[in-house]
Amino acid sequence: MKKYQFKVDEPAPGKDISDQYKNFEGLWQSYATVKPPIIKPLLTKAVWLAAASVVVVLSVWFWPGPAVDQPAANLVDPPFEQVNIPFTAFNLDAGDGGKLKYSSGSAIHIPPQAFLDKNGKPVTGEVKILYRELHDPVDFFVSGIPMTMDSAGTSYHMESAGMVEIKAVQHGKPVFVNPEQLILVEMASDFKGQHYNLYFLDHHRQQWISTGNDVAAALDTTDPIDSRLLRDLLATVRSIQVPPEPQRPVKAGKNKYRFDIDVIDEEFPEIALYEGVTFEIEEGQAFDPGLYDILWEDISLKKESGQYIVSLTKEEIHHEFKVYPVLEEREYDKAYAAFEEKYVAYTQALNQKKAAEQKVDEMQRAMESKPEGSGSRMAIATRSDHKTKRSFNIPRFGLWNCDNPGSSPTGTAIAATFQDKHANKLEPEVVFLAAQNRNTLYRFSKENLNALYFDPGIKNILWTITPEEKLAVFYPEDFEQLKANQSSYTFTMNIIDKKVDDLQNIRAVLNFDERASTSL
Amino acid sequence: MQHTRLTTEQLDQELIDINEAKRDPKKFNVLYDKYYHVIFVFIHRRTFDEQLTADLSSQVFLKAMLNLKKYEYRGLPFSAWLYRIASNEVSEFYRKHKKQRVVSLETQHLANLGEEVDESEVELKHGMLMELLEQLSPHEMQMIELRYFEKRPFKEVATILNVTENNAKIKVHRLIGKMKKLMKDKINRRS
Repeated sequence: MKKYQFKVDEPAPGKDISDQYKNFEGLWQSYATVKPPIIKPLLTKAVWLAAASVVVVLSVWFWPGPAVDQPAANLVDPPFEQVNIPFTAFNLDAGDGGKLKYSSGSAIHIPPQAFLDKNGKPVTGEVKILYRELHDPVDFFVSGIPMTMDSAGTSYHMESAGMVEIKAVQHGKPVFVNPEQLILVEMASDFKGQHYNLYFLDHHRQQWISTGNDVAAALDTTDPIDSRLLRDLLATVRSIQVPPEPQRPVKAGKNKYRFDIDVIDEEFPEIALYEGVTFEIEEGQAFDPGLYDILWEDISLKKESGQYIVSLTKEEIHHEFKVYPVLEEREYDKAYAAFEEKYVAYTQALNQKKAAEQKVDEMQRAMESKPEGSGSRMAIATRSDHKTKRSFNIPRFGLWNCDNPGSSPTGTAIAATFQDKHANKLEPEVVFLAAQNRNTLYRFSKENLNALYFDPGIKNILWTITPEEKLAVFYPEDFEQLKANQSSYTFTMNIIDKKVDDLQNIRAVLNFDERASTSL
Repeated sequence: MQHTRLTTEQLDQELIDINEAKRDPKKFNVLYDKYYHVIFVFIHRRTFDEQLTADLSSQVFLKAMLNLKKYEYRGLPFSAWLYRIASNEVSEFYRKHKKQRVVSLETQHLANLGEEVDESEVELKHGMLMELLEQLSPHEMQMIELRYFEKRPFKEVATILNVTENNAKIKVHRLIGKMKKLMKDKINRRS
């Protein structure tokens, strides 16, 4: 079936047509029904706080489910197409649940029957969990996660103790958290303390929503030196991105029936590598080409024991066909070249990661053999040498943030202009700023560059992206040229010629080799 | 197609209307009256179904009312924000119902796009261009619709797609590059 129906030179409906449907009264009634009543703060402070805590608990435990959180407009806007924090996929049986372990040391506890389908029915069979964590300004930068929130008319910057993004799919369809069987996340955080709240990124409301508190506890009792080494090793493991194993491309057969299906890239990353993939029907199945003429209510793709299966559903009619991905001849050569390149990259990264994981295993075994409590805890500011376990239940899938809203950087507002080393003017759309010991990312859009704030008492790093997609960086040592109370300044940026094509490169360029803002 | 172009004074007045509606939601009717028709047309171009257009338009204005407090003025008419909501509603409808997407275009706009993609023998290429458009993802098609079939400025395209203006330019530039290559391949194969 063709994807698009083109309407060429068709007249637009006139005002007389649209006026027939215009109905502000109807809209007002819908608004009045949907809009929650405003509760005026008539309670005493003590009662109000007690009431608020009950609301927080209820909102976490009785969040209406299943809830779909569709990415609306690009609230999350990664600056690069080719670089992002990858999701790690875990498969588990929905009926059994299980405990998933992430490379950072985090654990995700999934109880049995933890998933519902879109109709609220329990999901059975294998479910794919997609999980990732974001911990530092580089993670926030490449993922394009918003780092501000509004509360009572004031804008705050999110100072994060770590974020997790979790979603689950089955047969290409999202599944939802069963409100009676909540998922417990124990995130390994670099930050200790009970002053972090838990926030959910609500795409409908286009903002972070506070949902209560997490519970922080020491994750381990290992001694600080071993812990630091382990943390570095884990950071190395995490920074090695193993791409999905590429699927060897197959040419489309002549006169074979095929389906053109949009798939979720994260569910079928082996297919997402190629452009123009369609799904050819395996031989030996009775296929009626008349099925192409039906407008199906649902078309989905799943993979069972390595076999791709297309399902077509309309009312009571249901068909399933075994298929395999193919490429048109014109796409094939390009795809094969891509396959060879990706396969080399895949095997190299896999071997590198396995070696690093082996080192982690050896170290963990060595540490487990030491007596408990043999070390003392040390911390720099709120960052802990030990990992801290931050635990919270999630009533819905999406992005969760253990966070402490902070203010903008203190310091003088500078009217900022930008140039390169050859004094060519730069006109950045957005300028990013990270500051020592503040685990956030400040974004200044071009409209706000006449008042760029930074804290002169600490190390800062500032960068932007040129139209050629290169990083232009102003390093901490460059900030030393700025005088106190300077009201305007032209930042001479270091344009980095290195290709921005992976996370490690970006970390190296921005001096975030280790996962710590203290490395500035 | 025509777009809303407002003078500074009109934008100022609109901002007053928005602030009034933020204080008193009933006053949203001023904005509703002003923009109902353009939003209806925007959605109709993408659905060609009057009843569906009316339903989605209602959703757009309801969401706008519910989220009005979060609206921030960014130097563009209020309609840009409404278009963004409308665009999301349409995408969501097609995602949910897996129906064939409707794309409205004028012959002249197709010719302009043809000139961007390949400078020779424009008239001969319309058929090929349509085949090429068929290969675009919904997101790519959305960019082509906004920029080439509706002739919107980059600033407005960026607002509707909720990306920066620079990012919108880069995305469109890359997409045209991709289409040029596809077109070249097509022409080579045919010759």
